[in-house]
Amino acid sequence: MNTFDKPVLHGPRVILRDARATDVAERYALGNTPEIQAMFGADPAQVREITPEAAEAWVQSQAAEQYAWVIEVDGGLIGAIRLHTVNHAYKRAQIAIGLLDPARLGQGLGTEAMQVLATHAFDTMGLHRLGCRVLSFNERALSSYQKVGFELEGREREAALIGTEWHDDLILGLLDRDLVRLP
Amino acid sequence: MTDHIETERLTLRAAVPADVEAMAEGLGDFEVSKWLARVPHPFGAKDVRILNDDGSSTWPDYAAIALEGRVIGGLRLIPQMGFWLTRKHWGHGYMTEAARASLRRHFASAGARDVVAGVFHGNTASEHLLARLGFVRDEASGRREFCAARGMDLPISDHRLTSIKWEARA
Repeated sequence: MNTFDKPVLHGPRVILRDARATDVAERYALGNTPEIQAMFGADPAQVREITPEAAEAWVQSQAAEQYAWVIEVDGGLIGAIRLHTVNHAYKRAQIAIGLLDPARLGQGLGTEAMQVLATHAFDTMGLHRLGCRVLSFNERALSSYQKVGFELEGREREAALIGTEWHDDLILGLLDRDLVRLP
Repeated sequence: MTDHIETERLTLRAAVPADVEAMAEGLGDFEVSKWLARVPHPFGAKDVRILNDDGSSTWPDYAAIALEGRVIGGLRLIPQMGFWLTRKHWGHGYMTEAARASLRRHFASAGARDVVAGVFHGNTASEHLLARLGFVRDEASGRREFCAARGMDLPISDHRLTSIKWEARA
């Protein structure tokens, strides 16, 4: 199922690796948590129990993207992280992360995964800048990105429609020299 | 405004309560909803909306597509084009037929806006359908959009049909 040869990236606690078939059962077991899905822009009222097809499609989407890794901690799947809109001419890309395990939030694991992938993006891929957007109400993510070294660069007003309500998107940027590197 | 459109094989019309079960069947299939932005999965009869939130009819913005009286799909052009077709009716050109009729009416009015359809990457059937109709993919924008059925955001590209392009083909 894997199209791209993705390196395995290690942090002190997290491993970023390509998706594999055994992740389907783990993704299914993680389920859909409305509070977490809301941070991705889902309408919480529209979040349903996960189905086996959706779990499989999730894993396939990670495998199908050239710069998408799943995040593993203590041998278990906890989420995914990726670069997209990679522009080698201008040495920049966008970065996005989603942690799916409610028991693993608030432990700095997302921050660490961002640091690991940003290090790869700058040191191995030779990028200079990473951009990121986050819904303005997602304070946990904003605080995590700032720990990585991201700076708030702007606000797109009413950029996201969730249910019947508009929300702002915050625009963040990280330059290679500003990355807070892992020890 | 006419209250329905007849094509060679299909009727485009407002959805009615009797269509709910057929719409739930079509939209409840993950192979359909995984390419749609706002249809969650699982999706059942109680999730089907045949009226706008304010109680007004969705026609003509949204057309139910009926084959021999039974709804097999849905189509909207405004503000963004979106469409779905029950899986067992794929591959017979029904959506091409419905979209042509709908686009003909749209572009018949003076000053009609471009029609834009967002397609999640990997949905080659929809890309081919739009190309047949004259749509051109916009420059890669790196845009992503949330897919409710999958519970994640996915890369998406806009495909655009201008009135000039439509008239050149008509």
